[in-house]
Amino acid sequence: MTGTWDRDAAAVFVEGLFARHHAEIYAYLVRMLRDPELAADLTQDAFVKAYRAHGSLEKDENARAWLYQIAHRVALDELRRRRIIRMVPWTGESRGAAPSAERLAMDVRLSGPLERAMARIPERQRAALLLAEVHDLTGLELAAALGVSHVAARAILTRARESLRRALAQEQDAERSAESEREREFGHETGRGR
Amino acid sequence: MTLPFRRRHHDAEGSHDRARALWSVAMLEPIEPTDDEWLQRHLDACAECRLDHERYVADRELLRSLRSDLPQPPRDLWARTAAELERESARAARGGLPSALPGLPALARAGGPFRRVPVGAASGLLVVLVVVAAALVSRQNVIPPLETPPASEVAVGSVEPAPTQLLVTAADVFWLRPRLDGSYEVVSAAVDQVCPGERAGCPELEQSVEAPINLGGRPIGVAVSPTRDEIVVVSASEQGQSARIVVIPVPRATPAASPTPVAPESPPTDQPTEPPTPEPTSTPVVSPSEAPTPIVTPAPTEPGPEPTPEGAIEIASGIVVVGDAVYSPNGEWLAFSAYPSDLSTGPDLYLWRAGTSTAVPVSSDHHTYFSSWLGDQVLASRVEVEAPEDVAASAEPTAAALDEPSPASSADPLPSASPEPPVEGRPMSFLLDPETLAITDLAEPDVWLPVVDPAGRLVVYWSGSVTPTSDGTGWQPAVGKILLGRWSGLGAVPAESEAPTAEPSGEPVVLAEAPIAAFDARFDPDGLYLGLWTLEQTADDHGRLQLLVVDPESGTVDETVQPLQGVPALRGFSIKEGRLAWVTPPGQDGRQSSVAVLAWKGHEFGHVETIPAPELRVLR
Repeated sequence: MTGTWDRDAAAVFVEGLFARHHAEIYAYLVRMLRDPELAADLTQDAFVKAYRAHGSLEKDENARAWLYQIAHRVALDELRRRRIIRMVPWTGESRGAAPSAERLAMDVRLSGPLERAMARIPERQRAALLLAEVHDLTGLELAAALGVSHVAARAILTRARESLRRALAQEQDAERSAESEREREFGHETGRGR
Repeated sequence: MTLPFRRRHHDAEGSHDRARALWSVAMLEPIEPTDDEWLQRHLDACAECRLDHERYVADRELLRSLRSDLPQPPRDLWARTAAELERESARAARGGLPSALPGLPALARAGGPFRRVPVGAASGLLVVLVVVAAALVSRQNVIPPLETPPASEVAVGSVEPAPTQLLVTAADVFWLRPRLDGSYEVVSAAVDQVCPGERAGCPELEQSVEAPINLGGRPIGVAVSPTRDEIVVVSASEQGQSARIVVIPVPRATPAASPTPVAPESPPTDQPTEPPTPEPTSTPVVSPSEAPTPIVTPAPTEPGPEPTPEGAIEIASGIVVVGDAVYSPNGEWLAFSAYPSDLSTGPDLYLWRAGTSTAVPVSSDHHTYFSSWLGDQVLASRVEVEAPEDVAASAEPTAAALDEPSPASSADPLPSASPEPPVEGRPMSFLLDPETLAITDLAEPDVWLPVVDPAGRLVVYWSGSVTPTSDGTGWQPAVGKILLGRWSGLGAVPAESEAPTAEPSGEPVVLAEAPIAAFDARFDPDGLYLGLWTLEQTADDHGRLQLLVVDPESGTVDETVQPLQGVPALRGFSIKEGRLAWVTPPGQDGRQSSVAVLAWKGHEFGHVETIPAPELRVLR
């Protein structure tokens, strides 16, 4: 940590931070991880880390971007952990045998072409798009949240837009193909029914 | 991946890239007036770009529509968070955390901002308060009361002597470590805190064992598939440098590191023991129009095969691998270059398709080297041999040359076999589609072992001549330099295209100059950081590793940031999101090797290392 640590100040600070930003941090993590229950756990984790790292925050006005940086790191850690877990044979649902009602609702919510396209692009690019366009971070805040330089953040965002464009185009192509297939099947069945 | 040679307009592709970058940035924040003017002019002149721009704007609006549909957090989130914060506090009190983590007296204040929590959350909070109160009472009973100093003193007095930590977002590091029973284990470490500046006094990197694994011999090269379900091991026999390549499924991860060596593996499975083949070059030549078909690999010349780990597939043997064996980004292919262990010829390019049984040589000129992957294509280099007495005899490089030995090479296949070995070779590089074996030559001559960044914008390569290695088995840089330039500037043009029309995109940047015996360059996934390892003399036991910060837009190196300037490093480093990892040479300060990590957050950099150990090998 680069600053001093004051436990009372950290406690007050984390309370205020939670009041102001927990909803958006949770929303960000849900969209990064596509799992509301896990997102809740990691939101909690992010605020605990913020409490521990309070001394590293140099300016209070940067707190939001700093908090997003912590949440972003927590999300990436989780995503990496999942990749490591994939090294072992998958034996079942790790977080319960059946998906929860929230999970099912989220699956419906995240089932559109945009969400599917977002799920297909690299994690860091997905984060850049969400942070810039959904959570309205400025360029400097985006850089802080991603933990990169301002130039690098802009480059990542540019690449992210390119990736999203390609992924959306693929989604649209797939939808068109599926639609054509449905029409063919419908015509076939109609013809058979005659 | 968009390959740079795919041309779409009458204009240079670089200007479209610039336009796309500018409008992307303009969606984020105001851009320079001159850039804005340029962008408008470009859009006015390019109808397809305008359409492209409209699509990007539509994508942006689609994304912004998510703002009105934010998922709502569970109502008890604060109660859960507060409880976890209290647990942190309790752990700190027990000494499980640094002493700079005291309790949280303010969290439960009645006047805090969370008095209006929902009933469910309030009940949860009440439980937490009871637990905390009990913990505090309990603590007072067993631990002598401490005088609580002012907050400022807490901060100063509780700081441990270790350097202050830099929080980073970095990819995990994986490496191999030998076990007592001769097997190896895959070790991993999360890198989230590093020490800025001096490494002295920095805590070692915390590590966890992922999987003990029998590699069937001493590994001299290891590649992990992108899906992380198999490991390719290049190993050497005990008797010599004859190598084989086996593909090993990654075993189950173990929950925790086991200090005791694992039991010996089951007896080795039977190996196909081909009779020694004195002439491994009798393998069929694969023409570009043919699909690779399995062949009998050159049989080992060493007595007796090494035991093969259970479940492993030997995809090549009796060869010496040059450089690294590297998976394609999609994990479908593995590429490497190798020469026969009897030294009868020079290296050829090999491909192995995941799931098949044998690696296949796809060149037969014996002067072809795998360099890197560019998307789903192989970037490789070959040498046009120029004998000093017959320079003019060397063939002009053509796409077909890959599979047909050049007149010079057929007359003089190996420098070591010639009474008057050629003193210089002219390298050239090409793209190879592993599916069709179609070749696209780079127009730029004298390009050796190019490596392109993941976005296909920048390339690092040796520009100059090559010379035979001292043992005569291959080639190494001779006169020239390592350059960073625009990938489009090398003129990679599909065969059906017209002559290369590479845009003038600025002079390449010199990264290193001769003498260089070997080098290894790799970009991070965003193409913003470049790791460059160089070896001055073949006889040196280690090279020097540096990290460069590059600007993909201008193609330059940011010389104001020099995070790592030529530290001693063994060959084989790994660069991933936010970190560079390598193995330090043994003997540094009398120590064994350790895995060293340089991690960064923007332009802040910090180090961390593992505890020293023998025979470490970082996985890419």
